[in-house]
Amino acid sequence: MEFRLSDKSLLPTLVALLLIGSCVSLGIGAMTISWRDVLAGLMEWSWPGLLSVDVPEQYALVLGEIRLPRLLLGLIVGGTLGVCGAVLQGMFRNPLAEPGIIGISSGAAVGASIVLVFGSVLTGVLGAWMGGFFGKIQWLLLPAFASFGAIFATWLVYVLGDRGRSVVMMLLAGIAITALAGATLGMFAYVATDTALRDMTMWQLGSLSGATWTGVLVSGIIFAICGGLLWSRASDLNALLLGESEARHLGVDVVGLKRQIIVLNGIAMGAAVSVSGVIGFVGLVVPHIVRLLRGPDHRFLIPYSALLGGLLLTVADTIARSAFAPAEMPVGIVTALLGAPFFLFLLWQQRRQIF
Amino acid sequence: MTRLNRRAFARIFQTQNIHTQIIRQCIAIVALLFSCSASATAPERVISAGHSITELVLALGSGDSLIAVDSSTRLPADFKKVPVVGYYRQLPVEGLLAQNPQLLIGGEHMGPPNTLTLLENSGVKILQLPEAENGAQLLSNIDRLSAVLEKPAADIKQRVAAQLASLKQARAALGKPPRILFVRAQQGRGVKAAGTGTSPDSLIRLAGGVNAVEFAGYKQLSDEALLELRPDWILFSSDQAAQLKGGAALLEWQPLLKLTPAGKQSAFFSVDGYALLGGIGLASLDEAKKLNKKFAGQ
Repeated sequence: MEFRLSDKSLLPTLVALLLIGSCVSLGIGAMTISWRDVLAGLMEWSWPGLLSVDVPEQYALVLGEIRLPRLLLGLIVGGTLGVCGAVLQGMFRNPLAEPGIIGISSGAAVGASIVLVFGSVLTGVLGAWMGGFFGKIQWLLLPAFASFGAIFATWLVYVLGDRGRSVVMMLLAGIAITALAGATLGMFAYVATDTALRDMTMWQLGSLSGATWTGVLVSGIIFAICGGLLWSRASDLNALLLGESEARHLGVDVVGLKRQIIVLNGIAMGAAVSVSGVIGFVGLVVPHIVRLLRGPDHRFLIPYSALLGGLLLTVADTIARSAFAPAEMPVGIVTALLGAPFFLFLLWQQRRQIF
Repeated sequence: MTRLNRRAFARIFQTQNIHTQIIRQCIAIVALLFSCSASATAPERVISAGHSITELVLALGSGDSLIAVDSSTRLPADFKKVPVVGYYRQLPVEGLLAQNPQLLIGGEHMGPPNTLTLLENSGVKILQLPEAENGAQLLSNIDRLSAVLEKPAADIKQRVAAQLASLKQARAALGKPPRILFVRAQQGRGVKAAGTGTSPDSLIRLAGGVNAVEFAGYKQLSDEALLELRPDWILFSSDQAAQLKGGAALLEWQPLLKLTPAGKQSAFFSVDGYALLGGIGLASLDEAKKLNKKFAGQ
């Protein structure tokens, strides 16, 4: 059985699936809205009174302020996770490298928890230092800390893994960082108030329910910049697949490349994680599926992982918010439930062709 | 002829349009008047998030307008089936809006903030009540609820006031207040005690005891601290009653407890878990009475 598709059929298929997935996601939810009303509601929300469509005001609000930002956030976060997973696997030349497994998500979680637990102290100190200006950038606190945590964890894994050469060291470092982060989170949980504790727990389960237009805008811009820059290094990453010395002989600045990847990855992961919490499995599964379908060429792997990551997370989120409606479950549970069996199936089919 | 026909038809349609317009306007005016009068009466579609608040909504007689509750609420067995919209700290916006509510009532910890903002923007009224730490706050919560639900509160307030008065007398009759420890315990993982600012703390004070611990919130206790605290009574939530074998398991897990006054007397008491949710509620008053009788040795 051959899964690999030509580029000509894969790209249109992915785009078509993404469009279908997005439409379904907009149409499904706890509130039942007919297809005609979905279109009318979106029109009414984006330009009230342009066409005198008769649609309940609530529909416009649900579509424009809840479902649409949530859909976009799902596409952005899923895309970020897919791209970061693909690039990390390329950089470490290891199919196990995944933001969750090598400790990046835990690093981001520690960063974010600092803000969730010690937020009032931090706000006080920074407010006294920067004065009124701080009030304007206060919402940046959580993304910034999450990014720092993610960058620091990636850097630690990179250095301990002998600058990415030793896979065993890298995985061990990742496990140690995850354990250390777990202990730090436990310590925070101990001193946290009841409310901060629940926020922390919920945040670590991952959910897109906090989607706002600000979050979409910020994470979207960061994703576009970081993703674009990472994509521009696709040929260098391809050269790196041959081995480090071979890449150097081909004229690739290997150290500089790795440094860039770590920083860009950390910023992108931090931004994604800070709006959605920790969502596992997408970063691991998506690049593998793309590799099975299209091969390991990073020029295609990176954008296709973005598309497939967005698609997977959108589908997962649609299920998460409609399966138990009117209640919701955290999307991280769904991505694991969806991703793992599918991944196992693909692994079984393609045992000898993975990397 | 065709042109004439068309004009005639057009005129007919126009006149019809005018008529339908007038009719529509009349309907609209009637509907408007109706909706004005409707808005002056009690909200008909209410969602309640939090057990102690739902309890009050039902006690005020607004059970008919209750259309959904959160997952921390336990409704009476004979109550109609209503949808459960998730946990009160993580309410899903769309799930709530789909119920088409007019009013959402919940405690101060109801959230997340994003959900509440979006609900308010879509015209849902929101009432957040503080967690009652004492009887006076419970009475003021009842007042605020009765105003919003437009139900008379005199009966229930009278009942609550009577219960509070009798509790006050009972507290005075106790003499020296006993030292109480409220615990959550897990085998091999020690004992967590409820400090100030928690619902058990409010319940203990209402029943006439003093909380044996003075820290805020729930914290882990060391074995030795248990001795130092010298609790006269050890309380736990009813959902742990089976696991703790009515308190006997506590003595097995923490042998040092046998040296405390409570351990010597086997003075354990399980408190209805729902009386401990969201501060002092109606169930808490009954539970405080029971506790007080225990303390008094009745």
